[in-house]
Amino acid sequence: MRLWPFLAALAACPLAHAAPYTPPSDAEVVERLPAATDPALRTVESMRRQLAARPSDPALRLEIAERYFALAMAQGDPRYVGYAASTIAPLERSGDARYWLVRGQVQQYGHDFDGALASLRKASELDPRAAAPVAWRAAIRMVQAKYAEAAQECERLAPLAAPLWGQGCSAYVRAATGQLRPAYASLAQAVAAAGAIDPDLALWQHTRLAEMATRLQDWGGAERHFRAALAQGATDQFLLAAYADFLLQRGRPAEVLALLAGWERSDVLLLRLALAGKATADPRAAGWNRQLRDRFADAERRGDRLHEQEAARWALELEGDAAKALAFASSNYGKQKEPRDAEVLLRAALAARQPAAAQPALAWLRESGYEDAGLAQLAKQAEASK
Amino acid sequence: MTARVLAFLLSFWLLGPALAHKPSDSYLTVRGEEPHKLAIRWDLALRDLDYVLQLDRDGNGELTWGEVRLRSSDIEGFARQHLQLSAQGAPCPLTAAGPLMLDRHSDGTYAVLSFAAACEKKAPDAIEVAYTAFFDVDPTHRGLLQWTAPGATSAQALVLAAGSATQPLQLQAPSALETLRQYVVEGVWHIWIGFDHILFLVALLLPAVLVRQPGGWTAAPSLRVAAIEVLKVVTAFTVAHSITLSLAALGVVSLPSRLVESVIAASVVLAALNNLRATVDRRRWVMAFAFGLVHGFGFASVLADLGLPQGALVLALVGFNVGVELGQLAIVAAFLPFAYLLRATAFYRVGVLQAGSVVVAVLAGWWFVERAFDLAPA
Repeated sequence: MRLWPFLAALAACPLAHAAPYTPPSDAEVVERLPAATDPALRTVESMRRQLAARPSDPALRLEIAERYFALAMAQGDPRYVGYAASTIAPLERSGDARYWLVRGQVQQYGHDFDGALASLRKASELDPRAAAPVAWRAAIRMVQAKYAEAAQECERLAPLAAPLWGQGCSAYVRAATGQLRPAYASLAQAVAAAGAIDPDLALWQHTRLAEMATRLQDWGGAERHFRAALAQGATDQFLLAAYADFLLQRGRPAEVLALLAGWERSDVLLLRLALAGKATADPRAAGWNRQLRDRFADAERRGDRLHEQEAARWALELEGDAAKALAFASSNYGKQKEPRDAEVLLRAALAARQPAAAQPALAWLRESGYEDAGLAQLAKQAEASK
Repeated sequence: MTARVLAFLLSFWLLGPALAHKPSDSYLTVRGEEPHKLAIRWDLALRDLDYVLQLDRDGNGELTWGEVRLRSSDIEGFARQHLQLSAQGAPCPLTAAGPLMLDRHSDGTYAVLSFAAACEKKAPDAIEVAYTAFFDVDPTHRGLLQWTAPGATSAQALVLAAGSATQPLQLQAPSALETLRQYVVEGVWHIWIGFDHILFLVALLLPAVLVRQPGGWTAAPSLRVAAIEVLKVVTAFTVAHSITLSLAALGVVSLPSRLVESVIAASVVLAALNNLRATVDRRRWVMAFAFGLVHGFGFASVLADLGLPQGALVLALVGFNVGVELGQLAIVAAFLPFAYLLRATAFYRVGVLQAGSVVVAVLAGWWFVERAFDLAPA
C-alpha cells in the first residue's frame, strides 16, 4: 500500500521522474541518435560540418535549411524546423528567394500565417518563376478559408508548374466552394488522362480525389483513390490519416490497426490508432490513450497550441469531455479553418450543448458553399438546437 | 523547383506541426533553500547536447555512457554558460553539487546536472534567471522550469523561450494565509492518501455504534451514545498525534522511520483484531491515544519531506495539523451515519465489523511484514 502515495505523487507531479542513475559500464548504450538509422539526416549532418568550415557559403546554408525542413515535414520532429530557422538566420539581408521561401515555411509551421504570406510574397518577387512559394501561399489561404485568394494563387501557379498542378490546385479550391461534383469529375479525368505521372504528384492527387469522393458519399470511388494513392509506395502521414478516418467512418476500425501499426510516434496517427483501438476493444487502446494524454499535457505545459484539432477530437471521442473539447476546438478555429477544423468544432459544440459556439463554423459552411453530407447533417443539428 | 519537391510540400500541406514528435525541452528544477541559496537540477536531452557538442565520438549514432562521461566537463561548461542567475545585478555562481548522471524521460535519455547557487548579494524580492541553452541552434527549444520559492510547498512553472529567456524567480515567501492554506491542503491530502491512518481510525470506529453485552454486540441505544464514543476516539487520536507531530517537527524527538512505520502497521492490526476478540472495549480511546502518538511521528516524516518554511514554522505546523483533522472529520462524517443506520443489522455485525476487521488485519499484517523486514519495493 506504500504504492498509493507513490502513484498519487506521480499523478500530481507529471514532471517528476525516476531518480537519476549512473550506468554501470562505459560500454552501455544510453541513447540512440536518430542519425543512426536515417541516411537523409546523416547527409545533412555532414553538410553541417562543411558549413562549420565555410560559414559564409549561402548556397550550402540554404541547402541545409531546406533539407532540415524536409526532415521536419517527413518526421514531424519540430527540432528540425528550429534547426532550419537558425541555419538561415544569417542570410536575412541576402535577398535570396530561397531564403524567403524557407522562412515562410518556418513561419507557417508556427501558425504565423501573416508573416509566412509576407515572406512567400517576397520570395515570389525575387524569383517570379518559382512555383513553391505560390503553392505554399495557396495552401495557407486554404487553411484560412480565404478561397478567392487561394484561387488567385492557383491561377498564378498554373504557368509555373506542370499542368496537373494548376488543375489540382484549382479543383481543390472549387471543391471547397460549391462545385464539388464538377471539380471531382474534371480532376479525376485529368489525372486519368495524364497517364504515368510522378508518384508524389499521383499520391497527392489521388488523396484529394479520395476525400472529394468521400464527401460525395461515393464510397467505392473513395476506396479506389485511396488504394491508388497507397500504391505509389511513398510514406505519407497525411494520406494515412485521411484513409484511417475514412475507414473509421465506414466502420472498419480493424483495418486501421493494421494500416497504422507502429506509427505511435506521430500524434495524428496515434489519435487514429487510439480511436480504432477503442472501437475494436483492443487491449492496447488504454495505453494509446494514456500516451495521447501525456503528449497533450506536455504541449500544454510548454505553451504549445499547435495540436488543438487533434486535442479536441481526443477530448471528445476518447475522454468524453465535451467542454474541454469545445475549448480546444474553438481556440483552434481561431487560427485554422479547414473543413476538419469546422467539423470538430461543430461536433464539440453539439456534445457540449452549446450550439452557439459553433456559429463560426456554420457561417463558414453557409458562405463557402462547402458540400459534405456529414457536415451538413451536423450543421442541421446545430441550427435546430439553437 | 523540381516537381518532386513541389509534390512533397503540397502533399503535406500544412500538416507539419501536428505530426509531432515531442519538441526539444529541458527541465529545470530550482528550489530556494534560503533567500540567496538555490538548489538546481537540470535535465538536458542527450540528443540536444550531441547536436551542439558532438558527443558521439565514433559517429555510429549510438551514445555510450563512456562517450557521455568523457565529456561531462564540457556538458557542465555548456550548462554554466547557458544558465545565469543573478540577484540585484550580482551573479549567483553555480557550483556542481554532484556528478553528471542520467535519467530517462518519455522521449529519450537526459543528462542530469546538479548545481548549488549562492548569490553574492541578497535579493530583496526576486532572483533573475537568464536561460540561453540551444536557442541559437533551435529557436523552438524551451526550458521548462519548476520554481519552488524558499518556504513554499508548491512549485511555480515557468516556460523559458527565445523571446522570454530572462525571467524573475519570485522570492517573497507566500503570505501567512497562503502558507496556512498550502499546509492545510497538504494535511488533508496526506490523510486521504495515508491509507494506514484511515484504516486505524475506521477499525477503532467500527464498534462505536455497538455496545458489547455478555452475549455479543447489540446496537447502541441512541445516536448520542454512538457519537460520544466516536468523539472520544477521534479526540484522543487527534490530541496524541498532534503532540508527537509537533515534537518531531520541532526536532525535540525523533524516531527511526522504519520503527514508526512498522508500529503504525501493527497498530492497525491490533485495532482490527480487537474488534474480533475484544481485549480493550470501553477504553478504545486509550488505544487511540497510545497509537496516535506513533501515527504523529508518521505525519511528521511527511511534513519533513515537504520542508518547513523558516519563519512560518508554527503556521505550517498548525496548518498541516488542521488539514489532517479536517480529513479525519470527513471520514467520520462519511462513516457515522452509514454505521449508525446499519448498526442493528446482522450485515453490519458480521459483514462489516467482523469480515471487515479480518480484511483490515490481514492487509495491515502484510504492511507490517513489509515494513519491519524492509521488503517494500520503494
